[in-house]
Amino acid sequence: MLKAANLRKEYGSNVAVEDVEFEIESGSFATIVGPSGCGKSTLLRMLAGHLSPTAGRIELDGIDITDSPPQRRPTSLVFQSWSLFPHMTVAENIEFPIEARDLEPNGQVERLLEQVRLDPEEYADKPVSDLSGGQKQRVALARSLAYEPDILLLDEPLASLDYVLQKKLQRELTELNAELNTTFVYVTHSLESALIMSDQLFVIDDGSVIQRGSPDEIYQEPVDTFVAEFMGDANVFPIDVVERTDDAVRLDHHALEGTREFPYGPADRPDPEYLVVRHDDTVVTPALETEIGIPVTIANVLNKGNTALVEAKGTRDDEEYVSEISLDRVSEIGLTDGDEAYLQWDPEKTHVLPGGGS
Amino acid sequence: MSVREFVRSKVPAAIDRPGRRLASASPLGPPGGLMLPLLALLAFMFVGPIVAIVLFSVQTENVISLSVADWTLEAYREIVQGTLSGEGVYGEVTLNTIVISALTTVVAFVVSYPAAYALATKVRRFKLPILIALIIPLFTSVNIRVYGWVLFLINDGVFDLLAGSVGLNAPSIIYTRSAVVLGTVYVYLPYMLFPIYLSISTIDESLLEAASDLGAGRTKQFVDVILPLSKPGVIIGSLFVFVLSLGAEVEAELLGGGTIYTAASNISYSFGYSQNWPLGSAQAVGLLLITTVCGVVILRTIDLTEIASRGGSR
Repeated sequence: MLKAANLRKEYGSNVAVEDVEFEIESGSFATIVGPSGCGKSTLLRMLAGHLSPTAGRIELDGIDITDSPPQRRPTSLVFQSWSLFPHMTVAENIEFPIEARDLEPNGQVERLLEQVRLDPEEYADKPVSDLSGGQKQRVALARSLAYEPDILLLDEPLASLDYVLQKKLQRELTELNAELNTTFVYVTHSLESALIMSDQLFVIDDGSVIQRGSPDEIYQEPVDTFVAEFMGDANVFPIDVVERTDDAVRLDHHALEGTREFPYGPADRPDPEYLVVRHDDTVVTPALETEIGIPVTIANVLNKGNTALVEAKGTRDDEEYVSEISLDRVSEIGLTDGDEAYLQWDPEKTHVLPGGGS
Repeated sequence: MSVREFVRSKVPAAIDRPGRRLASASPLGPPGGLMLPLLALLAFMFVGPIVAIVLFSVQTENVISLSVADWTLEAYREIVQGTLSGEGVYGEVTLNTIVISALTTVVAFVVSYPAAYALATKVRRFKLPILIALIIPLFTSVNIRVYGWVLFLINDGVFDLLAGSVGLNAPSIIYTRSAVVLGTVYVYLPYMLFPIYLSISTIDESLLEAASDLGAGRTKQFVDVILPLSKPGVIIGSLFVFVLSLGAEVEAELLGGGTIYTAASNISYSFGYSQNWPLGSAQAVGLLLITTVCGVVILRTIDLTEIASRGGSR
């Protein structure tokens, strides 16, 4: 188990990582997700040993590794830019850690290349400059796995690859994680990769972990408006709290046509500020068909391929909403710009949340 | 053949490379036109004199005007014979020149590499002043700088004064080969230092992080990553220093005090004192050939375009 306790990193008066705590099960796939500059890379570099924390402890299976240098840590970092040695061949790159850590060479290069799906005969002796981005990524992965680290740390290694290749490598990484006995800690700003690959998710903002859990838990129950918006495009309604009890709250917003009660707790949770509904949890129809809906005017219908984004204006000037519905539905209803309609949703799909984020 | 394959077959592969895009979209016109002024200048100032020298080298002794029709290889014969038989100065001059150039290259490398490494990786605060201090001497005439050394090393000069003040009676090295090497090292040091400095500073820092992450200690990081990646700088710097030292004349003249002959000082002697232009020209052609061979051999070992394009490790 990889454990971080009160981990903190300061640069002068700037706190990059603020008292982070987590536990990651051995062999699992954990993802640290957050926007650019949220401190996730700093956190990863502390786990790798390239940065020493200002305070706090890192433990691996009960052993304190906070002060051990990268050379002696059973961790391995796959860099965002892959950082392959440009003057070496594929095989020499993979042999580097085997030599550096004084391991017995016994056909690892071939086995590792097969593991990352590169034909050893074709690739072993190629200079790395002859490789494509995806191939470089695979070699970097093979090199990092060469000394069988307990923890593989990945710093957005797929960010500079094209979409199709990203999807492919995401799947392969998940498979590799299941195959090996290695814990994967993956850092990304991409919600999608986080949801697809991880067993465990940590949402980070401003140097702190805001929410942790399974991808499903976080997607279904975002803890605040920041997480909700980060986890999926959503409509956000600012609301007023009329009355609050231990497990419920009564809210006022003109879209609710009067006030309405929602479950909300526990009692020590900050007061809600927003009502959040994901784009794809809403529909737009000419008549009000569900319990909650607001009158809108269709401003624009954007074809996204398999779905359409319906942009709509509310009755007030600054009110703009989006609904994501299937293309079939759009043609069935016959929505066109300028139509009067209702943007509506199932009350179950409403997230009542405190503010958050920056 | 698909449309894509057809287009591919018509478009040079190089056009895909980002580096090429700028040229094709250049607001200054086609690349050929941009090269024209430089080519014209080179034709007059580089090719012209070389042709003149080559022509003069095949004239009979002591002519000072060209008559291309009656040509002779007399000057070359004299040099080759002199070198082979060991008579005259040619053997000594050739040896001296090569020894001085080789020593200069080795000393300059030994002095420059650690400094270049420190400047590229460790020195942060005084980096700019140090770099400026290294560049400023290049703005001063070589003669003046070498005279400075003469004043320092000469009998009863600064060196004797300093040595005497601490009770030392060390003989000055002036008018020896060591003094000449001291001069050439001093004058050509920046030509070694800057290429090495540049090649070390373009090494992506993440490569060293990756190396340490993979288990490499400081020694392995240096030997397996920094050293091989700075090799182009070392090679180019060595080429510069070696070739420039082959042509060192002022240093030999002033610090050798007329006792140390090098190829360049001998050429200058032939043109000047002995007024034998064909002999001087023939020696110049010989030196040029040696230099060219060195350059071609050395540059073949490295890929200049690779160095030029190296910025990251991707």
